[in-house]
Amino acid sequence: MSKYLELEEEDRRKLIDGILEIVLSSPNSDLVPDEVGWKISNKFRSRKLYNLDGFKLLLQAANTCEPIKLKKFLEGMI
Amino acid sequence: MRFSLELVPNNPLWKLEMIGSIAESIGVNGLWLSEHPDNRSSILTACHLLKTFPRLWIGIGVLNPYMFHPLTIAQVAGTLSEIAPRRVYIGVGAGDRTSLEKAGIRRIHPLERVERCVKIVREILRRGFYEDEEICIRLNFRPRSMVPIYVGAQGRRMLRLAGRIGDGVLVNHTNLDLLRLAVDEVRVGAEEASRRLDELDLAAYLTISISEDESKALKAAAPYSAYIICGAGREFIERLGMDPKIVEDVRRILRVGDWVKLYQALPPDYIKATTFIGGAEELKEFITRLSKLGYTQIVFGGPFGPRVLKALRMIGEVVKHFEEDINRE
Repeated sequence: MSKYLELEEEDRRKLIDGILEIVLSSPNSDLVPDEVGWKISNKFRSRKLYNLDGFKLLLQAANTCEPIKLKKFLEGMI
Repeated sequence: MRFSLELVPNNPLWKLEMIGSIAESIGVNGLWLSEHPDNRSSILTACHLLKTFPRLWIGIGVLNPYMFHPLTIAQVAGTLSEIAPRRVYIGVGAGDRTSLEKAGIRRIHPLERVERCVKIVREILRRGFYEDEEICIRLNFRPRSMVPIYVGAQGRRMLRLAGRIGDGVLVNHTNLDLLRLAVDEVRVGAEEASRRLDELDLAAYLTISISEDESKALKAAAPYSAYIICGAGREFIERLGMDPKIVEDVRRILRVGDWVKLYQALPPDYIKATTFIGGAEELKEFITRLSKLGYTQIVFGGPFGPRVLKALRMIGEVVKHFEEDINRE
């Protein structure tokens, strides 16, 4: 989390976009708890996903449905 | 040209909502929700999305008369028209034979069943009741707007029927030659009913895998292509020059659900013959050709691409290109 805070605004957006891509492209999104999914959708639709809260929610979702892809992606990003 | 996106309710509702939101932002006009008996209900999903997105129209495509009685379809259409007047479309089709058989239903006389279903649904929506020598049914409420009925079609005779009776046609092909032949069949059907082709909304319901990386696009499209090939009739397989032995292999592998073997068994040419594989520029060219053939709606169907968010943004680029074209004219 602290590494996220160290990133520049543009890099934070890229990071969030990348995790969002993992969640949207996953065929396993049924594994994501509905509560987390609805929160992500609400934030996404109200354009409030690109912040620390959104990042945390996406991490939780991606870690549930695509843990290996998430790990690889984060290693490349941070 | 109108643009819509296919949503498959095998995804959770929150995810469909997000893709709907992206659809709105990239300039797509509507969503078609596909109906499969083993997925979430397309009807209930439509209720939710119609309330969530007041600017998008939503089509349910397609309901088959074997699982849905015409009165149920009319009831659904009438109720949805109360939620969203003039934003609801209903697709009627014969349904997927394999899925129906799994449910213990034999798909017999599909042409007759679809024709009768459309006739009954239309009558009920128009007049509130339907009566003939076999049935007498009535809605106890007033549909709030007309609901256009689209006929989902792939085979020659169903395409003709669609041209004859549909307010629109959902042509379930992605191959350009088959899409060209489909226009001819729909035209014949329309002429049989003394109608012109341009009186119908002719929708190309495409299976899209858009990416700059062809191998990844092929991989994403392979299961979709396999389902198309396995669900297709002999006429389709012959027309595309596919080897029946390979098709049988693919059927067997699909039944087991072994994706690794599927990638090995399914030749890339077969995937390309049944789905769109390419980048944004190729997709623009493809749509231009479809427009020249007479198609008036493009339905971008899944998988969209190996990376869904990126693919949807690329589709947005394509939609924007055609909107700018229209504005220039």
